[in-house]
Amino acid sequence: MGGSAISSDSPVHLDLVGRVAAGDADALAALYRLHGTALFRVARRLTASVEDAEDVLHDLFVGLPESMHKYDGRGSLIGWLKRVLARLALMRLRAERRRREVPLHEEMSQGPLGRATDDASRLDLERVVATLPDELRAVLVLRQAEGYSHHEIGALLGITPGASRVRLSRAVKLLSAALRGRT
Amino acid sequence: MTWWFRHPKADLLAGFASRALTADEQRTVARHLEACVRCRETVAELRAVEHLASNDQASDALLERILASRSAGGRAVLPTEDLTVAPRRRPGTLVAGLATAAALLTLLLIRGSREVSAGERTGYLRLDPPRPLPGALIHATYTPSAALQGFDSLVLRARFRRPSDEAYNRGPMQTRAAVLHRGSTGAHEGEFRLPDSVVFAALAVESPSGETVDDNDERLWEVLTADEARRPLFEALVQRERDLMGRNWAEGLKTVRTLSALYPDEPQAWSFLPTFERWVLGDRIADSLLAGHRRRFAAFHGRLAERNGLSSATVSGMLSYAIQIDDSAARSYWLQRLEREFPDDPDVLFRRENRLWHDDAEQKKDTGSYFREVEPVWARAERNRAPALSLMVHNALTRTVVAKDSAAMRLWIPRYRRVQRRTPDMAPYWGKLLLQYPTLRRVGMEWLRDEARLLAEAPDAYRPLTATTAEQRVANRAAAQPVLAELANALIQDGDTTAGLDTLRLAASYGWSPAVFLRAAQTWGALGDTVQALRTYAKVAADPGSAPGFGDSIRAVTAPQLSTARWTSWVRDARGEMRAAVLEGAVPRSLTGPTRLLSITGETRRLSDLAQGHVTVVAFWSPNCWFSVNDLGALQRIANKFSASGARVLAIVDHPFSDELRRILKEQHVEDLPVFYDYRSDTKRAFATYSWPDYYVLDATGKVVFSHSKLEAIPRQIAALLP
Repeated sequence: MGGSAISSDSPVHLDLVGRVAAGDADALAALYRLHGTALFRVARRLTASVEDAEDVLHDLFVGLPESMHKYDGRGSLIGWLKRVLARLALMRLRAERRRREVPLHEEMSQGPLGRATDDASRLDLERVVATLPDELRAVLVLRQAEGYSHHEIGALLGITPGASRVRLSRAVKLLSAALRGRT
Repeated sequence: MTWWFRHPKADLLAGFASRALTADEQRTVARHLEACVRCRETVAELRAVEHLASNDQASDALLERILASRSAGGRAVLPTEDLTVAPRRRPGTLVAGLATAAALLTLLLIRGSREVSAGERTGYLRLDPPRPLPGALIHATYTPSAALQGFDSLVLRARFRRPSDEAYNRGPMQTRAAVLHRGSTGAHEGEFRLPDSVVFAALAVESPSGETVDDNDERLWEVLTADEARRPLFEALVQRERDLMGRNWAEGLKTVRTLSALYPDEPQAWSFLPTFERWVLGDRIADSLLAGHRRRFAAFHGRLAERNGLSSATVSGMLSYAIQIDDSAARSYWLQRLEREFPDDPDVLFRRENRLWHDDAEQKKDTGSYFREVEPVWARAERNRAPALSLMVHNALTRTVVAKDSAAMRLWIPRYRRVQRRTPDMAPYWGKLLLQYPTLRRVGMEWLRDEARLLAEAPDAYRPLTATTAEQRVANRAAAQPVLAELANALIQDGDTTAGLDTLRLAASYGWSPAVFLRAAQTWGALGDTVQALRTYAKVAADPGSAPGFGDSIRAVTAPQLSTARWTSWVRDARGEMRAAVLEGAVPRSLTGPTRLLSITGETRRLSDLAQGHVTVVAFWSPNCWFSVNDLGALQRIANKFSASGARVLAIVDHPFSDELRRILKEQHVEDLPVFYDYRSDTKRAFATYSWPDYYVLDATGKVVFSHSKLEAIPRQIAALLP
């Protein structure tokens, strides 16, 4: 899907919000074409999975008409959509983490760092980010790729800004270690 | 600035990378970067993060999926409420905090009160400590699923397992562990103390009445006891494996792998592996792993064979491992040693009983020698409370049946009932059998009455952790039907016709059961009430599982003068009654997540596409599960029977297509059955199914209406969903 022909501050854009809220499928499709790609990229970065990102975006747009009234128009629409999407993605990560086959005993598993370090020379950035623990990747992506403040990240994740800083620090260390084989 | 002499903190490097620092901070970090290659690389990596997935595009296919979901009535409540950052009470609450947020954001498909989706069903249970010592006090914090959010208090139910507990989870194993009360954070909290003898527990949370259950998508939550070093106890892992038996084989394999990794010097730990590898991974992979097991066993043997004073667990473990790798010489050595050094070991006693059983079955000795010689073995086993007691008593009772020895039956029945876990499914079998012997008729009747009473009282200990009280009521009634039918039959035979008919009516009122209806119809016929008999036969004829032409044959024999119109009207009424009865047990839910499948011709399909517009039976099977393979023929017949009505059967297999798989399909004569490989296991996850065979029936919109269906119930369920 290509970019959008509708700018985000145009009257058409403002009209979309009302039409989506009224259940207009064409308006929903137009909104998807306008912001779908940007939102998909956020979901992809957060979940590190195309399938999961698609599912998150699917859930967002399926629920939008009934939730559109929650957007009060004070901030940008894309910003609001990204926040909702990020929450959905984090919910999914949490659910997936519970579903995943978690090792019974910590000593049984080689963590992402260990695996990444072993393969540092051939891992590209995307793969290394994907191997980060979900809670660290979430902070890294929200901070570096999406530009959220630690306060905003804290609100999204249900943690304090200080904890967000700590997680970012751990993410950066793991990232460096995995890419360059150092700790 | 001290940064000049040491590396800036990661947060500052991240801020520099995203140009989010103040001008002063920016300059200071820049000065450091001039001299520090390592930090320059880090900044470059962080900037690269900004461009992750920057070429990705949202697809038209996804938009179509969204619009299709909307037009099909799909709705979702989005997590739009603002979150507050609560101060953390202790480090461990971080996960709970995230879970609280996540639960608040739970996606709800809003389609009717009886529907549930995965998000609605599952909350988050945190146990502290997560790896307790036996006897520890455990604090439970539960962030409720959407379905359980409205309750001020919730019940934490548990299945406590002790080292002597057997595999599978039948019988009265469940108990109420704690009541969780809603706290100021919105989470529910409570405490319970593990009984000292308990090594493993499976847990679920439910409403006070038990009408709503959160079983973690049928995975349950777990307590695995550990030692001081937080290493799970050997017995805890063994009990986990036994608890998973029949409900999640793959997790069972993972458990025994963990057991062997944590206890590498215990032969018993390794002895579990070959069987699980064969069951879960298939013959080809299991065969390839056998050489490694043989090397490991040889090393054990070399180290242990010459040593004296080994524990019974080690010797028994070596024997089991030798059997698993099919080493007959080693098997013989370790068996002799076990028998010599540990004559009262449960394994030795059970093997001795087995030998007697086989000698008797092969008529190597005179009739009755088994019962004489097994007595001292039984006495020692019972004294030791050997775990194999239930198997031994089962063997003995089956020998009494083969020998038609009513005196031996009279001896072994009380033993059987004393040591076997009480399960209602065995009562009709044994009851019916005992009723054939005049001297045991009273014992058989008592057994049936006890079971009927038990099912009527429905003690909560029998209710599985995954079952709601309503589901258990239905299950109890279904289990009571054959018990009551046998009892009714016996009462009528004994001349107590009124009590017998009342009992039969009660059985028939407990749900749709062609077998019970048939028995009732035959009884009415024998008593000369032809109208009542025919009306009841009409119910059997209305059932889609009955043979074609059944109704006509019955009518021709029983009442040839009955008009076709009247008979047709009775059958039509019975169909309506069946439909209502079947739909009463429906719990519709929507599937979430991808359901990608691979066809036998290599095409990728989605279950939602395959099932759309058709009543669909989804059958999970595995070539490693004989029971599921054995059902394939019946599934093919169901598919054939309903193909003209548009209903489908999809057989979902857990193994890739291979010559071996094709051979199985050919041998079972099911080459026309649509078989799909769940190549990403996401269909299995969407259904939350982890064992075989497992059957589901979906309506034409793709909703799962019936879960874990019995094979014989599937035709009725399909018929109930067809227009």
